This record gives sequence, C-alpha cells and structure tokens, in this order.
Amino acid sequence: MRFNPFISHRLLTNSIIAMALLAIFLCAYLGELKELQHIQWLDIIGEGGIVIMTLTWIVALLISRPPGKVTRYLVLGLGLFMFSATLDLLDEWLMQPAQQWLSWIESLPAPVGMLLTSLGLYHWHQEQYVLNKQLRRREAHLREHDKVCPVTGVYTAEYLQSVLNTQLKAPQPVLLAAIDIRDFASFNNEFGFSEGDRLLREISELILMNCRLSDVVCRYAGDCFMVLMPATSKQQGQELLRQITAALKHCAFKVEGSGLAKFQCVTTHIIQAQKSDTAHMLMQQLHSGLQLQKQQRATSSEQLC
Amino acid sequence: MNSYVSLSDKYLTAQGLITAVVELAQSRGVALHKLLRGTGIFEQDLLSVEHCFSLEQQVKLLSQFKRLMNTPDSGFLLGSQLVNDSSSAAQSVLFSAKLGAALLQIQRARLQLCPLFFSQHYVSNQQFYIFLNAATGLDDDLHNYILEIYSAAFYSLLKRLSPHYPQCEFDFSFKRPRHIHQYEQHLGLKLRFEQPTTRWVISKTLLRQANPYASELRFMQARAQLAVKSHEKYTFIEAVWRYLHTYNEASLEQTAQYFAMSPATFKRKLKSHNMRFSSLVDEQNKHKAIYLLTLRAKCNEHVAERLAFYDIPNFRRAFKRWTGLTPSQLKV
Repeated sequence: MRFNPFISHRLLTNSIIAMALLAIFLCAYLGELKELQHIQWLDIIGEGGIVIMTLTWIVALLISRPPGKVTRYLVLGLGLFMFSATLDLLDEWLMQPAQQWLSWIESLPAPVGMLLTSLGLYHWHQEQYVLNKQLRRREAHLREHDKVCPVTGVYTAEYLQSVLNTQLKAPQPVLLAAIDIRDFASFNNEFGFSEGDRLLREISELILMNCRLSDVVCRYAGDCFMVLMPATSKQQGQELLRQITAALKHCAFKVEGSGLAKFQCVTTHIIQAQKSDTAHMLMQQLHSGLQLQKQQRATSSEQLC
Repeated sequence: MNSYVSLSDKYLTAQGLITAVVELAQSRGVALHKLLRGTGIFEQDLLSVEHCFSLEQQVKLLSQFKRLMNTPDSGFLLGSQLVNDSSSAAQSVLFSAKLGAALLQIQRARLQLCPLFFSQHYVSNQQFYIFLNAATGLDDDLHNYILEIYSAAFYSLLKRLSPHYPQCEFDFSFKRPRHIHQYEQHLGLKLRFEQPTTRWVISKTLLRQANPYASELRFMQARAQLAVKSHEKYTFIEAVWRYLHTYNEASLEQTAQYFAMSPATFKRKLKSHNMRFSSLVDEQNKHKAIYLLTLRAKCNEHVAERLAFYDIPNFRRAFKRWTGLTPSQLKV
C-alpha cells in the first residue's frame, strides 16, 4: 500500500513546502545577484545534488510510511537539513549581507535536523523490533519481499521449493500437505475479486494460526495452499490437517455488502517426502493427488461437506 | 474475396476482454489512467455503447495489464474471468446445447471472443485436436501471456460446460516457465512444453456431453443478436493463412493479387502485423507436415510429395529447421 503525501501526511508535506519556500524567500529578499564570473558552477552542481537527493528521500518516506512518530521525526529532520542545504545552494547566486543572525539561520538547522533524523532512526529501530515480532509467523526464515505473495502475505511456491530442497537433505522425515479451497472460482464469480482476495488473506491467517512455528506455509497458486512440516510423522501431519479443515469449516467469513456468512470446505492431501524426490516432483505428486480427489468427487457427485 | 480485419480496424466492443481487464486491474488497486496509458483508450470510451476498439489497442492494453499486475497468476485469473462475459457472443457459447456446439460457436464468433489466435480443429483417434496460431506477430513474452489467458479461458469453459471433471492436454512451444505451478493449478497436470506446435487436446466424447446451462431459446436470441453485427470473418493473417492452405504453392505476387494489393502494399501490410510472407509459408508447411505425420500417420514420402518437396532429404532438412526434430523423432 502506498500513501498519498497530500492526504495522509498533509501537515508534514505542507511544512516541507513551507520550509523550501521560506528558504527561497529569505535569500531572494535579502541577497543581491552575483555577477556571472563569480558564480562557481561546480559548487552549484554539488550543493544542488544534495538538495535534490534530500527531497527524493523525503518524498520516498512520505509515500511509503504511514503517519506516526517515526515518520514525523525522519521527515522533519530531513526537511531542516534540506532547508540549510537550500540556503547554501542559493548563496551561490545571491550575495548575502554579512549579518550574524543570517549565518545562524544558515548553519543551525542542519545539525538540529540530523539530530531529529537520528532520533527518528532510533524510534524506527524500536518499531521494527515490534514489527518483526508480529511478522515472525510469516517470515520465519528470511525477508525478501519478492518471495512473498502480495495478496496473502505468505510465501510463494518458489520459496517453498527452495526450502523443500534443503529440507530433503535433512535426516528427519519431511511432510508436505496441500489445502485446496473448494469452489473458490464460483466464490470469485459471485462476489468479485477483491472479496476473493480478502477471503484468501483470512484463510492464510487461519492456516498460519493452526500451524506450528517450524512449519512453512505458502500459497502455491490460485486457491491452493501448501504446508511444509519438517520432522513430523504422518499421524501428526494428518491430525494437523484435520485441525485446519475443521477451523476453516467453522470460520464464518462475512462477505462485505451482502451480509452472508460463507463457510469454506477444503480438499486436502498429504505426502511424505522420499530421499530421492525433487521438490517439483513432490509438488506435482501432491497436486495429482488433489486432482484425483476432485475427479472422484465429480463422478460420484455426492456432497461430502 | 472474403472480408477481413486488420490490426488497426476498430470493431471490438468494450465488452468481454477489455472489461475483464479493467475490472480485474481495478480490484487489484491498479489506477485506471495508468492501465490505459499509451493504449489510445479513454475512460469515457469504456462506457460508450458505440465506441469500438482495435486489436492493436487490445494488445497494448494486455501488455499494460501484464506489466502493472506483475503477478504470475494475472493471465490465468483474467482467462478464467472471461467465462463470465455477458456479451451476446459469449452468451451464445455458454447457452449452447453441447460442448461441441459451444466450440463451434466460439469459432464463429472468434473475432469477438479470441481474435489474437486462430485455430484448426481435427478429430483423430477419439481425440479432438485444436491447433493454435497467432494472428499477429507478438514478442515472446506477450505471446506466451496471451496463450496463458486463452488456455485458462478454454479450461474454465470446459469446467463450466462439463459436469464431470474434464481433462485437457496443453502443448506449448515455449520452454517450461518459471511459474510452472500456476500452470499446474489453473490448467491441470497434462502440460507439455517445447513442443513443435501449440495445441489443446480433449477427448472426443466430451464434445457430445450435454451442457448443464444449455438453453435453446437464449442461444437462438444471442445468435440472432450476433448475426446483426458481424460482417468480417477473419483477421488478416488468418485470411492469408487460409489462402495459403488452399493454394499450396502460391507466390507472394499471387497472394497479393488475391487480396487486391500490389506486392509492396501486401508486404507492408504483413509487416504492420509483424509477420513475413516466408515465415507464414513455413508455418503453413510445418503445420501440414505435423498434421499428416502425427494425426494421419502418413509416411515421409507421402508428406514430402504433398508439400511439393523435390526429395525426402530436402524435406527432412526443412522439417528439422521448422521444429528442431526429424520426422521420425516426432512420430515417436
């Protein structure tokens, strides 16, 4: 999710603009234009670069962070720094009168800004500590945003494959389970994709809640989730799957706007990895197991749920 | 001479693919103005009943969609969404009495429903074969992406119209993709990659299966609506392909003459579709050779003669160039 600086951070954005305007106004009001031969172009490039980069950081912060203490400190700190840098830059064109208070204004905001930024970074560190604790279930092993499914926030199949490949070398038995939501396509048709995505997100939450810390949950594709259970016996794995199935069956998902409560039925399949298997072979095996069940259900056409 | 549509002819309505693209992108939080950028489509065009779009615009929209969605399953989602299309072309397919009739109806309304690929259908050994060819030159990524969309749409249609869990084989000419698990989830496990042709294969018995949603009256109504609108039958490339299919050894000049153009204009026209005459001829011959060798189980001599090759080694060399395989390797 991205933030609009003019909506989410109205005050901060306005104060940054005000600071930039104030700097330009101060210089323009007090200074006198230098002659062309006195202008140092190299300085202008260097100092101009600083101003532009600081502005970019501020914009990046405003777009990507929700409002709060950390954002406030970081943005204000960088803003003060930018204020000083802008004054410095405009000095190259405009001769300033040698007054005490003006040089104070030019040099003081920068260190204060740095101090504020450091304070912001300290609070950011605290915040990250809390967030990491929150995310522990979802990213037990690494943080790589391209290995996480953007819809549900659990891992993608590619990541599961790489974990599976390392787990296959371990001496303990590895179990791989698949959970497929029944009739998800018709849910999507009936209520739209945004509700479908929300359902997937809630389901991933429920699956995570029912899994142990050592299990890795991933969204394989579409409405199929997979759970990797290291060092687990088949009975334990089946028990866990039963628990997940029961949890989903009893979870009344409220469809936005329709007032309906939807209960989810799932098809599950579990296999134990053999030493000789590759990750992709295992996943395929699991998948064909699921398909077989779906086919049998279609031919017998009896409602199991 | 048959009438045909070119890439830049505006004849498509916003219903169907374009609507599905916009809806899906918006539900995933993609801004409309970003999606439409560079496509020549404006927001108000989507609401107008009369406004029509060209194939070129559709291709550009799809490429924008692919770029902005940036998830490996977007093509499959879009494809399965196409089954819910409410245009009369799609309705006539969905209310057909049997799957076979539905496929025939798709073939009739293909300029509306699936204009970017055209197909040849064959029945052999109790199987129904659908061979696919692109109706415009596309870069590899987009070509594969559109095939993903069409394959997902086809499989969703099969699932919708057949009460039992249907099986379909998918052969693709490209390498096994990185997001193979999306293919397995959305198209089933009968997938093959790096094949000489792109084709879908279903069991012949599926064609006769009754459609649970069949409605004769609605089918007739949708067809009547359709008949009012459509005049053209083929895309330009398909028209050329069909001509070459009938006149095996037609030269570029003869073909240009058939389409009432000078050879230079004809070449320019092909170029605007990113195609070359010689590659179309090659494709045609490759298709015929594969059809005769695999589905009709003919021997090399027969095929070489049918394709007017001087001798068999020549044919084998050409075949190897088209497919990377020798004729005998293909038969195995």
